[in-house]
Amino acid sequence: MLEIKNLTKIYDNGFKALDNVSFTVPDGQFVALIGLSGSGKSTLLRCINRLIEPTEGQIIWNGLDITALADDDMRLVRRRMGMIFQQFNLVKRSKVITNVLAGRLGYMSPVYSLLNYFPSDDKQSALANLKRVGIVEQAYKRASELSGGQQQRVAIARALMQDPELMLADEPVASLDPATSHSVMKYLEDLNTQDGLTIICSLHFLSLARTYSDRVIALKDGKLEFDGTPDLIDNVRFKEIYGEDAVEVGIS
Amino acid sequence: MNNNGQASPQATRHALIRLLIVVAVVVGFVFYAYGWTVTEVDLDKPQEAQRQENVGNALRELLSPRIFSQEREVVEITAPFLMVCESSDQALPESVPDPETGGVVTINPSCGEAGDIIEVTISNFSPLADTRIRWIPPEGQSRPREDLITGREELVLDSSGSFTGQIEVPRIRDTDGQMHQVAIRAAFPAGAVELSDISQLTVLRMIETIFMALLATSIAIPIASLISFFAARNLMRPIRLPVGKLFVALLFFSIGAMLGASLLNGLGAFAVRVGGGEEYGVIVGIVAPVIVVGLAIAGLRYLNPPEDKTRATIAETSGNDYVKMIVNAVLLTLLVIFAVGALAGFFVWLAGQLQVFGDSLRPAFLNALEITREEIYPLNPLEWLQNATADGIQAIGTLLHTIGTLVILIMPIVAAVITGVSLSNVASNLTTGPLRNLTGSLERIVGGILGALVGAILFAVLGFLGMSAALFGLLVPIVAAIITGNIFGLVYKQFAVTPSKAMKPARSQTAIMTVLFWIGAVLAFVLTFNTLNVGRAIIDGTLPPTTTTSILGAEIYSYMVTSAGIGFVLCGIAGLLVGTSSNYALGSTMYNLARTALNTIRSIEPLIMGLVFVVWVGIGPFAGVLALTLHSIAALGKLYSEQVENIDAGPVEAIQSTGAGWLQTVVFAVIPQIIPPYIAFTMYRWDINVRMSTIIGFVGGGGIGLLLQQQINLLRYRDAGVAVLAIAVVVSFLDYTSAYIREKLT
Repeated sequence: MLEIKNLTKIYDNGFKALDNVSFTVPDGQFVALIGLSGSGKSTLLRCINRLIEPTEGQIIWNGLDITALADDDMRLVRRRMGMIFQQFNLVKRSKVITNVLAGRLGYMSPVYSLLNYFPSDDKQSALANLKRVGIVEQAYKRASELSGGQQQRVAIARALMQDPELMLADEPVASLDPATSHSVMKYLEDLNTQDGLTIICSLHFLSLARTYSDRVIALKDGKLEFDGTPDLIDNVRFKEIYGEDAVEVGIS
Repeated sequence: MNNNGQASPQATRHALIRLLIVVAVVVGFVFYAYGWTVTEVDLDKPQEAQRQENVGNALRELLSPRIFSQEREVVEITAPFLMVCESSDQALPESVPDPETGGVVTINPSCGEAGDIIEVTISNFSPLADTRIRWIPPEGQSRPREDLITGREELVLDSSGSFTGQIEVPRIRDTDGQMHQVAIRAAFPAGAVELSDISQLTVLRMIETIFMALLATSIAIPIASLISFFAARNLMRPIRLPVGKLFVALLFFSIGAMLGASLLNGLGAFAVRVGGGEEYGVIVGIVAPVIVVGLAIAGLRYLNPPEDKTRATIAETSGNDYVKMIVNAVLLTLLVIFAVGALAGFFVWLAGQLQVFGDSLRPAFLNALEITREEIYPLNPLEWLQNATADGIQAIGTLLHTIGTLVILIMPIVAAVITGVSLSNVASNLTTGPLRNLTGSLERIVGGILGALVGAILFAVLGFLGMSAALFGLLVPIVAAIITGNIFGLVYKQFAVTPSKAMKPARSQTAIMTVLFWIGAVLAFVLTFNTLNVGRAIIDGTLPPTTTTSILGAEIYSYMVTSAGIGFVLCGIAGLLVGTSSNYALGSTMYNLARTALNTIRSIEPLIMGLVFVVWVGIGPFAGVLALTLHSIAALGKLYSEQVENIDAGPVEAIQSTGAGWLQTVVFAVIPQIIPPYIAFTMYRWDINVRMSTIIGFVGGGGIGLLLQQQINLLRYRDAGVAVLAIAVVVSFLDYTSAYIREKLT
């Protein structure tokens, strides 16, 4: 269970990206995080695995206050939190399999990774994970040779290598075309239903949130604006979240 | 009224601004004009006839490089000349055609006295040859005569080999009544055209130059790469460490270094002897390093499994883990020191063997002659191959010998660093848990004690450096000033600034903190400056006067003791104020240190470094290599670090989110991204180094610069021209090649 308590983030330039946000995510839930650009979605996701240091508040994961952890303890916690990104964030010049194996780094002793050594078990599971996302035949190509959708699937495979309990997805389909978007979202849905992973996924399109998520959390100017099931978002709610001028568009 | 009242100050302001601009332009112009006076720009000088002629000659010779040379065969035809007509009964001589060339020279008149102008007619002689007139007296040296019509010594024969000119009869004592000769001397090119001596020398020196650049660049690459990570802001800024952990690490590094240098240096020396076969013979010398390296790797693998899936937090580390950690460190330290020493010893032994083996390959007669590599003997292809192979093998031997000797020389440092690192690693790991559990005033007290100890060690080292040169004496006051300034700020923060993290401190509070920082800094600077008598050292240029004190049986300079005392007090107070658990931005400090060092070294031209290295290692390419290496490290370090700062931050974030540590992030997310720009910049630097090494010889750094300087000093511009041409060809070739490769890479 993930508890966010009174989370606030103020950047060095004084910008308040998150303002006293609190919510609780039970295990196995698929949460969609929506809101306008700059509403604090990315900051919230990065505060959860502390790629960004929260200014105030607590994040309690499985009973452990991770905001209070020292850096090296936090690294051990991050191993169970997968993360995928809008720009996929693969190392483009490295092979696909190397990118996937990198997901194992948190478990590896630094000396071995300096020598680029991975146990054969890990290589097997890297191939298995690539197979699961349907691109095992691309394993020995450079990541840059892959299409956007394929790269995002490599990123999912990399996150799977961490053996995660929680998956953080930061606009995972915002750079993809509609068809590819659905395919990537289906993999996330699959992880949620088959493996029981908790998923927190920020999305631009409300229609995707309606299709895939159990629950929608909306942020506006860093504040929690809405928290409930997707079907509760009617036109009035929609305008509250996205502003008066917004019109809902779908993705098919 | 109101309108006017507001408009008029605005108008005044505009007028003022205009006036200021005019004043600025005038001041700027005066400033610029003064520059012309300072630099002594004088347009009369280049117009002086003598200077123009000089530069014309120099340029003509530079642009006519003596690349090739050819043997010349000299043909001479002569005509007799009687000094003073009717001074003897001899008949007036007659000239006859030369039997070999068929050329005829006649002079008219064929007798006369000194100062007479006589006419010289040449016919049927070679039109292409380099032809001159010489006067041959009956005894003594012949002398050149110039043609009075053209005013030149070289004759220009027309296409049929004819020429008519006038010469003056020279004044030669005691030759009246004797027969002189007027000789027309033509030099024909004969034999093969070959590279001139200067060209051959230029090629040799050019090879030396290119290797200087290659060596300097290649030695600089690994060092600069390492430094570049520390000089990259994006990598260093996130590195933070709890103050307590930092203190423990520094303290135990110092202790470990001292222990290593005193206790384990012996082990290193023993390993060197084993590796060199001096202790247990050659077989052991070869086998021992292999076994030890194997043992080290096997032990490492056993004690450090590649993966650790169980631990959820550091706090879960068990007592068993601690024992493992200590055994690991001790074993590793001993094995690594032994392996390094044994390999060094083995290298030196192997170098000797390669030397002997190389000699045995050489053709026997060359060995007997004991010639150097510089000398060239005519060899048949097989002998040449044998000789070249021997040279190659011995070059490898020399390299191994150098590496081995270097390691043996720095063995105490190696032992100190390895022991220091392991001890500090173990100590900081062992104390992580206990330090984290400290709270309240206990945390402050431990921080104070650790800070005082670390401060004493740090300042003792700074004091030691301060004794080496007057400017280094400023190190202690500067560091003391920075620490004291921060202490003042911390004290203020403790009592005045609101504790909530979410509240930014008010502007007035920040201002007060800045003022307090400077008050503290200036105070500490003045106090330490006076206490340590740094002013004396700066004025006199001598080292600060100091005596030795005996502490714990060791003789220590009291200067170091004083500065250690300052560090003890200052860092003790700082430790008390911050405690052990707050984070210290170690990365930023290292970034600033690395950047400052790189910028300082980069600002010193390699020529100036060359001057210092020539004093150290003598005139020759070695000094040049050292100067270029040092400068390349700084320049490449800067270029590389900028590339690290320019990488795509996304993959770094992604790798960090998997739980990877700093080193792993660098290896997996940073290095793959920087390889192409690193290669490009290395090529670029090699290119610069070739250019630099062409002139480093001017200060004695070897290479083609030395040759060029010698030729210029001897006013042999045609020979200098060859060197200049070679530089131009090589530099532009490298320029294009490196540009091509860089283009292919990006």
